[in-house]
Amino acid sequence: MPLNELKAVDYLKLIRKREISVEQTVKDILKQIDRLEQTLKAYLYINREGALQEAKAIDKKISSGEDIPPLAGLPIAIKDNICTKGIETTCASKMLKGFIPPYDATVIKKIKEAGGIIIGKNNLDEFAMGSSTENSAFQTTLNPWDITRVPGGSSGGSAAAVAAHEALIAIGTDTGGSVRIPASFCGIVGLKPTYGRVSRYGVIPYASSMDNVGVLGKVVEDTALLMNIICGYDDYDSTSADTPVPDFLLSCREGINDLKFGVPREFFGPQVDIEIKEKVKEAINKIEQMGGKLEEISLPYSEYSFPTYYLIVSAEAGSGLARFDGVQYGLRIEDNDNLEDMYKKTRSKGFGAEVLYRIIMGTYALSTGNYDDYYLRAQKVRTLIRKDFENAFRKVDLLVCPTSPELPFKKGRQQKDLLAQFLPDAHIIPVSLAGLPGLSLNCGFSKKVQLPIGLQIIGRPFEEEKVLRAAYNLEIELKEVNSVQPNFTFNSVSG
Amino acid sequence: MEKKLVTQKEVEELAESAKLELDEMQKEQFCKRLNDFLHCFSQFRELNIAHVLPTIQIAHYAKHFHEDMVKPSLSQSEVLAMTNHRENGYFRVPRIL
Repeated sequence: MPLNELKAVDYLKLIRKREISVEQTVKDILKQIDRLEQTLKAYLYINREGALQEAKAIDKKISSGEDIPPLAGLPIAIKDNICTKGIETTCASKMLKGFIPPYDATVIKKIKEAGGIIIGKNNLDEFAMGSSTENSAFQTTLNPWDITRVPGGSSGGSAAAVAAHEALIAIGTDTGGSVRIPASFCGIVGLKPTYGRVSRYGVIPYASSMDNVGVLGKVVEDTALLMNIICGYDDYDSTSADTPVPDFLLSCREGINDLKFGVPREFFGPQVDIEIKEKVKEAINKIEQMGGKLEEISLPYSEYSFPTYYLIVSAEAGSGLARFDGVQYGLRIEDNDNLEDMYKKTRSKGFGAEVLYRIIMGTYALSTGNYDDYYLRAQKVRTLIRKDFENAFRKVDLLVCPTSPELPFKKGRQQKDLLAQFLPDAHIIPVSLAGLPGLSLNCGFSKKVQLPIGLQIIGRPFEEEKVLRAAYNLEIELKEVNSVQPNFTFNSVSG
Repeated sequence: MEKKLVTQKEVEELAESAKLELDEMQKEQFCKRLNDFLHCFSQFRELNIAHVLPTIQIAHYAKHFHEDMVKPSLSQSEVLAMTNHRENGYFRVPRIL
């Protein structure tokens, strides 16, 4: 097996036993990138020389018998909205083309201290605004399972890279499903932790009250492994939680006999593709066979999630993106009459259409006369959505449902119906509004065209351990289903 | 709640306050999208929320107050290295008026 196809947990064991080298693994990853990247377009930057140099240094340490940190030699792909010292960080926006951060985000600092190697920076929807990665200012990432379809978004580059073995594991961000949707569309595992679990210091914000750093891995154990490193309190993030971090890798291997699962009836309605419904129900039956108890529950206010989410994130984005003014970093348009003119020209040329629209919408929602009707109303409905989950979690430990009601869709799709545009996000946005942990696990494939189907497991705040435990046990039951891989026959096709 | 219709003139005003310059096509498209969005969710607008408190803060556990202490930060040269528009240790900007 080429080393780039290894799971992260297995890879680290082999490295420690000196059965394989870090350098050869990085070379195998770069070879796969060279083979597929012209079509897939998952990366905006490949850290070719840097990764090889670090690999050689770690191999040297291992061969000389030195103590090595827990992730020593693990090649990790990073979504390009996370600051990496000395490596360009663009947010897939012309606004930040050429921006070299002078510092590492806390999550990057932790990964580096643990010995991880940054293999490259992944494509995304500009400023993480989108569900398809088509909103990138530079390129559209394609789905490794079917290159006529999108990989989901906004962490579509990270998910496609992991699914196509262009990385062993990746770090993404999830504001309204941006880790879970691409994980579902690309057939891998994606975990959005509880709000506050992982520091966002150095993550370029989209909507601060919902932004999270998440993990995209080939298997549940890989995500647990990285969670052990990136979680924990950070003085540099005022929303960071000072909550104990368990050993997720150890605890996920325990059984699920003690767990009670809620099945939200609203997430199995007519909006859900029939094949998705069928596969998710099959997986839920397996949970019951493993000893998990099931109960149907209701999340009545989840139907109001779309307007609630889009009003809040647009308002926060409109405010947060005010920092991009051409003065201190990023793009500046030179042909201007004065400071005000420079602001306007720079922002209008630097931001893409979707970003501009969301700033306009956010400005509208916060403006005098509209604040109470839209922004404040959305904040109140957010309370109702949160209370739905609080009520559900009085009865059950976890919730299970389809990650997305629809299969990965064709690139370039134009939706005239506004509600249809929001459909991929229907089951993930309520979780984001409530700040809860959510994980997407592949639970099967559609028959007509072989496309992955994701199942979402949702937990109480700071109970990622239970989410991972349920996912790990279910993954074992689904081993045969998940043994299928993309065939990568597109390597000679130009995307 | 009464339905409002956002006009293209209002979109221009929103752009002005957000320090953006939109072309005619963008104004037209954004106006349509905004109206479509605002009018699509009638049930959301009619939901009775009179006695519901807004979710101002999701991180109830967070430490919002801390001692005012000087901590290590980026140097002036590191910060200024992020732009070509610098002069004598300051950011250089176009004239204000």
